[in-house]
Amino acid sequence: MFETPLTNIDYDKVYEPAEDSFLLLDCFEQEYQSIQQRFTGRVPVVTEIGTGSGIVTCFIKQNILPHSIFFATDINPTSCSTAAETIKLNDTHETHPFTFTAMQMNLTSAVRSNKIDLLVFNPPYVPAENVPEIPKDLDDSSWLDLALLGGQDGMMTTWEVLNNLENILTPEIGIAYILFCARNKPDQVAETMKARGWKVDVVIHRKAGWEVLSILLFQK
Amino acid sequence: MVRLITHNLLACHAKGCTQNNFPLQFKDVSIELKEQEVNSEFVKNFLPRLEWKALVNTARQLGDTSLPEELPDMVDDDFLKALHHVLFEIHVEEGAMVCPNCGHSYPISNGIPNMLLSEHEIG
Ligand SMILES: C[S@@+](CC[C@H](N)C(=O)[O-])C[C@H]1O[C@@H](n2cnc3c(N)ncnc32)[C@H](O)[C@@H]1O
Ligand SMILES: [Zn+2]
Repeated sequence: MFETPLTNIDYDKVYEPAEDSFLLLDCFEQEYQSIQQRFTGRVPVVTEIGTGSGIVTCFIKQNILPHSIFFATDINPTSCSTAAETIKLNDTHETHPFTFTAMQMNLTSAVRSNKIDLLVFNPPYVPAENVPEIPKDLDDSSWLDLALLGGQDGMMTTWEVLNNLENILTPEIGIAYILFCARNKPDQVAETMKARGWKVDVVIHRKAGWEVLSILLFQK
Repeated sequence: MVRLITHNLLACHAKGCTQNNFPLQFKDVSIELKEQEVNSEFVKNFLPRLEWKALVNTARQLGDTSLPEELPDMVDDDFLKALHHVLFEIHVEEGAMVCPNCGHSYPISNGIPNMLLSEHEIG
């Protein structure tokens, strides 16, 4: 069992690690060997979209792929500073502390095309009328809405990533782990992506309260 | 914590800005140098994935002239040490990154770059 990273979070502003976050940690623990094998002899570029507290990236950095370059993006500036804190809080001498950068960014939009080897995303997946607008003020109380609400089928933000996956990942090598809830209709999403030439696998799923969460692995 | 390893992987993504949008130019930066143990294997393994010219020119702009213009065929320990320093030990804490094509300025504050665009700038 790998250890869960320590965090120090302002829960009014930053997404508190929950069942979905922990499912990702379990997913990477389960995938440890195949991920290690895939990236042997390579320094992978690992990018997490919507890093929140940074707990998932921190876990990967500590336990799964310590020798990597890590980008963690979030539109929420407090998430970015919190994620940087989380990395610092858990850093040990061996884990190459200077390989992590938190960035305020929409998805992966400023990362050059076809550079990301491992993409991770626990998106705002709750179905809602709209994807909320970005608050102007750091102390606005609606930052957490952005962590949750995903517009139609809870899929608006996730589709933006999936539709662009070909340009985001490194050709042949790149893979993406993305989390879904049942109301996102992950089966249908998988079919659509398969029709576009992706290999899609459900790597883990779990009933969490009234949600059923699953993580899908996308690769070419 | 913007370092040159980070910078080497970023480009401008403003609306219509698809050419000559890399590398971003550092402006009004404040820098901290932070020492860290060299991991030669790590640096060597990442080497083939770097945009060399962009890295060398950016390092020079920040006052570090230790890297050769052309990527050498043979890399030795001194070279890897210099490269390690350029990639990981120069931390840009404040300032901005400016697009050489459209001039958009991405601010850096407390080591965190803000790469968000406003609605009308999104491509
Ligand atoms: C469900 S939370 C996940 C947080 C964290 N990764 C975890 O697993 O605990 C979703 C995160 O995505 C961020 N987010 C929402 N839309 C985004 C976008 N377009 N680009 C980047 N981050 C986004 C939110 O601010 C929030 O931190
Ligand atoms: Zn530009």
